[in-house]
Parts: sequence; structure tokens; C-alpha cells
Amino acid sequence: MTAPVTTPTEKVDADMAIDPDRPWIVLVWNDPINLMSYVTHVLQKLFGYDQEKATKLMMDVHEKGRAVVSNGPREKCELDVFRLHEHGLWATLSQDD
Amino acid sequence: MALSFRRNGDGSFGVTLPMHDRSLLEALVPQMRELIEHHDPDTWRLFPNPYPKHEKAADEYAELIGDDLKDGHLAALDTVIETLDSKRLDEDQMVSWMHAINHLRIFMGTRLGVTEESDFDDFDTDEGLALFEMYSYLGHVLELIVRAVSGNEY
Repeated sequence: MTAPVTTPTEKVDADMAIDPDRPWIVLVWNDPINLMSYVTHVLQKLFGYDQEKATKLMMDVHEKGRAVVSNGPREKCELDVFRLHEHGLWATLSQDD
Repeated sequence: MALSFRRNGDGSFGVTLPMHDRSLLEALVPQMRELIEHHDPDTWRLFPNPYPKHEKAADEYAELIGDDLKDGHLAALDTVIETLDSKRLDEDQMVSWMHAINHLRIFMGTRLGVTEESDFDDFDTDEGLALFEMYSYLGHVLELIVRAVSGNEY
């Protein structure tokens, strides 16, 4: 994977400001490939949710297109995203509005 | 004997892998390895951008993780090849199988451009049909593994 090449000017335009004081959230996005049972299992395993909570989050992803699966300091959220990517889930992090 | 994965009392997993399934994985897994090694465009879903709205943060993250994600994906595939003939897998090995088969599905689904409604009627070339058949079949295999690993009932 190579990062896209951009000029510094474009970078400033494309970037949203990062506010160090605002908390971060981890989002999982719907995709047509991952099995519902698999997504539920991954959320249980990575975040310790019981089957009921993990199933609800999975259904939110499925029906609403995305769900917040964890939150906290940026470093923790980056680690959560990495682990979700290891499991093939489509995860991003952003700052809570 | 039908394909099966079951959790043993000691936390290991018993595997019954019929010849057909063994041959399929033996053929597909090394191909998947090559696709990842050579950054095939249809493997992008295995490497999502965690910061779609923050280019600088995305660059920093990419630098931080280096090849860790790629190496993890490859290690799962390698474990499947190394344990293709094992009747018994430990939990880490079983999880590697789960990941590797999911990587294959994600690649195939991306290449085919599947949607949640995709069906056999949507593919009119022999190649597309064959790929969709494998994609669907691997979904069945993954479902069996998820059930064994999670212990969840559906």
C-alpha cells in the first residue's frame, strides 16, 4: 500500500483539524462481504462485549451503515482499528462531534 | 466424511477436511499470498484507510504500522498451508484459518464487486461464476469455523 502523492497545499485543504482535547471513536462500516456471525464474533472477542451487545452493534452496522464500536484516547483507538483490520473489518477512527 | 470443525475439551480444535476442500485451499492460499505481496488492487479492503478525512494522520499511521498488517495477513495464510494436514489445531492456528479464509472471501468479493443481494444469476462469464461459487462456498466454510470458535448459537 502506498500513500497517495499530494502537494502540501492539497494536504492542508484535505485535512480536517485535529483537536487534541476531543475524544476519539472507532467506527465499523458496512460491507457486503463479511458474514454477520463473523462480525459479531470479532466484536465479542476484541472488546469483550456479550453476544447480545455485539449482535446489536453488528445489526447497526448492517442496517445503518456503520456503528461506533469503541472510543477513548487516540492511541487506544488506533490499536483497536489495527486489530479490526487484522480481522478484515472496515474500520476507521475519527473525533467525536 | 463431511467438512467439520469442533472445539475439543482441552481448547484445541478437531478438523475434518475432505480432499476437495484441502485441494481448494492448497490452490487458493498461495495465490492469495502472491496477490497481497504484489499489492493487487483488489486487496485494498484488507488495508483500509483508518483516517479518510485526515491525510496527514493517515500517512503517520501508515508509517507507524509499516508492514505489520501485511505480515499478519501473510502469517495467517502461511499457517493454513503449514497445517493443511493437521487433524488437530490449537486455538491460534484455528483463528489463523478463520482469518485466511476471510481474506480470500474479501478479495474474491471485491474482485467480483458483490453486493448483499448478489446471486449466481449476476455473473455471466465462466470465470465470474466459478469465482462466485468459491466465494459462496468459502462463506459456508467460514460459518462453520466461526461457530466452532465463538461457541455462539444462531
